[in-house]
Amino acid sequence: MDSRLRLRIEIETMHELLAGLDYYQLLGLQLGCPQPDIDAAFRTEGRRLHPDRVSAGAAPEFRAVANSVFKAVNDAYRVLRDPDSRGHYDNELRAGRLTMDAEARKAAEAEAAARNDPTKAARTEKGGKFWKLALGNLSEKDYNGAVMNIQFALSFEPDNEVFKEWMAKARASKEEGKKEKATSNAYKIRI
Amino acid sequence: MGVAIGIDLGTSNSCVCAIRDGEPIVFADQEGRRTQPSIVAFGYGKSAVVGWKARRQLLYAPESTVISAKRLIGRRSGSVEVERMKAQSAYGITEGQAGELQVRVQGKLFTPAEISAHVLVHMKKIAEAALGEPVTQAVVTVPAYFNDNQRQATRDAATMAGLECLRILNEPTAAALAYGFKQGKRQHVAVYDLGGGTFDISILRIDDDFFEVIATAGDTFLGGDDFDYAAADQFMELFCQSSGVDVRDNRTVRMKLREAAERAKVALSTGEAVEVIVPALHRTGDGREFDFKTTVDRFTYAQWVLPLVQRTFDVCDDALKAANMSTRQIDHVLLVGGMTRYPLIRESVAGHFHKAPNTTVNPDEVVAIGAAIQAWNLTNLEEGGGSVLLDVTPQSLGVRTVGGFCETLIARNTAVPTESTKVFHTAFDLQTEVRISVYQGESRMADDNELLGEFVLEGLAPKPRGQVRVRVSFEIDNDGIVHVRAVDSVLGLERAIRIESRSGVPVEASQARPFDDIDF
Repeated sequence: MDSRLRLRIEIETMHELLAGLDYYQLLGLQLGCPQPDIDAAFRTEGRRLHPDRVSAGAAPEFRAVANSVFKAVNDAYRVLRDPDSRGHYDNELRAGRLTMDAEARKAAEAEAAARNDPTKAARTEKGGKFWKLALGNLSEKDYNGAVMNIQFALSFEPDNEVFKEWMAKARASKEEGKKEKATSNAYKIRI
Repeated sequence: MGVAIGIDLGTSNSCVCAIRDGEPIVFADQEGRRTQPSIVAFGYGKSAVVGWKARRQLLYAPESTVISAKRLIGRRSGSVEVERMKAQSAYGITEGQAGELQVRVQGKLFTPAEISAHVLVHMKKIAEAALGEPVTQAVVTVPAYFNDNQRQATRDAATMAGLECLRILNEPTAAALAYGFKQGKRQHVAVYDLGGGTFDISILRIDDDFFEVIATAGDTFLGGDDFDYAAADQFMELFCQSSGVDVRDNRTVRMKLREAAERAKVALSTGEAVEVIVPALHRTGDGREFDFKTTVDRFTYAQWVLPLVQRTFDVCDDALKAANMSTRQIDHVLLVGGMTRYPLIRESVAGHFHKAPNTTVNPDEVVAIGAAIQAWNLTNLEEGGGSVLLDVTPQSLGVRTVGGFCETLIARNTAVPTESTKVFHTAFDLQTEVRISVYQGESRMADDNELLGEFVLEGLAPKPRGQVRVRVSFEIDNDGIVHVRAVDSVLGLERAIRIESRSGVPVEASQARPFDDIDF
């Protein structure tokens, strides 16, 4: 029972670090390892991490976590099992496009993620708290609130480019939005 | 918690099994029969009967006896296969408002999933009678090549039957699981599964308790039924020529000949030749009565069905190519499905794979046994965990792009669960909604593939074209069922969408605009 709990904690930790792990790390391998090691590692990790094994009886949140970790494991194996796609991946990895030292990678990823997804722009806990509030304000078209919260967020992360960019947008909208009524940004999906 | 059962929901026959004290037990009905016909018969004014009782009604009231509902499940009208089925079927097949298929029996309409639900209830009752306790959970099998619509409809059928569907499991994978159960070997196995209505080939690597599907391919409209219809067509020609009466459009005659063809097929599995006699096959308006009489030998029969056998091998080669393997690298060929009992199929398979197929498993029961093992695995994790099954998606998943092309997001034979993300951009200024059509299939043209569903993202901010970006993630889960989630990349809002299996539901098309896409 204890080992199951440990495994759950391990999976949750993997999930948190997922964006920062390369495919080798995900399978517990080293870059340049022999090809048969990849098959073996996939089977070992597959046995250990398959959602059917780890998430029966678990809460839906954990199921989702176990599922996304395993999707990444599947992805890793799909790329590494084939020598051609593995070679291509290795080149990218060596060229530093996929991984750097932990610090640099984290920063680069945060930046990359932020380009697509402002929700991941914050780098500190306190900054993140206000940033989250600011995004909430933005989605409500409450630009006064947004400007205030981004200001707070910037006080913790004065160099955050994404914060600055959105500060400018929020200020502009604040002026413009005086005419426009605040309505919630309905984002509906119709099937 | 009661026992979780495994159900092989077949086109022609179904089978139910559970693991008791570590061993699979196939449940028999009161008469001791271990498989049940997947037939639902509607009597006049009475409730439906299922299984062997229903089969008896097939000959005298084919128009109110539903057979092979699995060939219709999760399909829309319009496809070649469905049109063929309409022509062959003695009961009525119509289409609902959203283009979904319906079965019409005695003026009542049923969806194919409802018919399958009747069969599932029947199987559930047989298990409950044997176990002496209620059953609420099941693993239900489907052909590996079933698409999302067909899987979803099968899942719905299980729900209607009062079963929690623990997993939609691929039939060849289930068979491999039953075969490799407790063997503890490392081997490559090809599962040749020719059932009543469908054909699948799956290539697996088995390593002790780890079952990994490398590739799968199939044809969901190729099975024993087609062999019978092919032979029945030949009988029909012979009859029309010998009697001088044209009854090619007579459904009752057609049904009787199909039945005769099936009996001939069975007889030829042991004998070299068979005499086929159908007394009083047809009575003309002026009272003349015609019998049908002919003799068929193995060679003639083989000639009739050879194109169908060849089709299975084309599919096999396709799977081998996808797995990047030759027949010589396959350690064992496993035969599954009632059709593989026939010497014609066994000999042809041996010839194609250069080795005698494995005959240790019972082709009628092995799928249900595999389903039961998986049901046990999913409900008994505390006992150390059973085998791990890693399956693949049988068909490529894609979206429609400008020009009617289909852009693949998840290629066939990708291991599931898996996910792929795509960013969509608006194509017009001030465009506030984006319509996304999701397809499954291998054609480069969207219209040649199966439409899974269409959805519209609306309420986008009216901005110059290309400035609104919507990230959409496509996931295929362990059941092979597709989930779509849209993430507004501006604000990170997220909504989950399930592609409804009945998504023939028309989208208000007038405002929906086409859009193009740039990256990812």
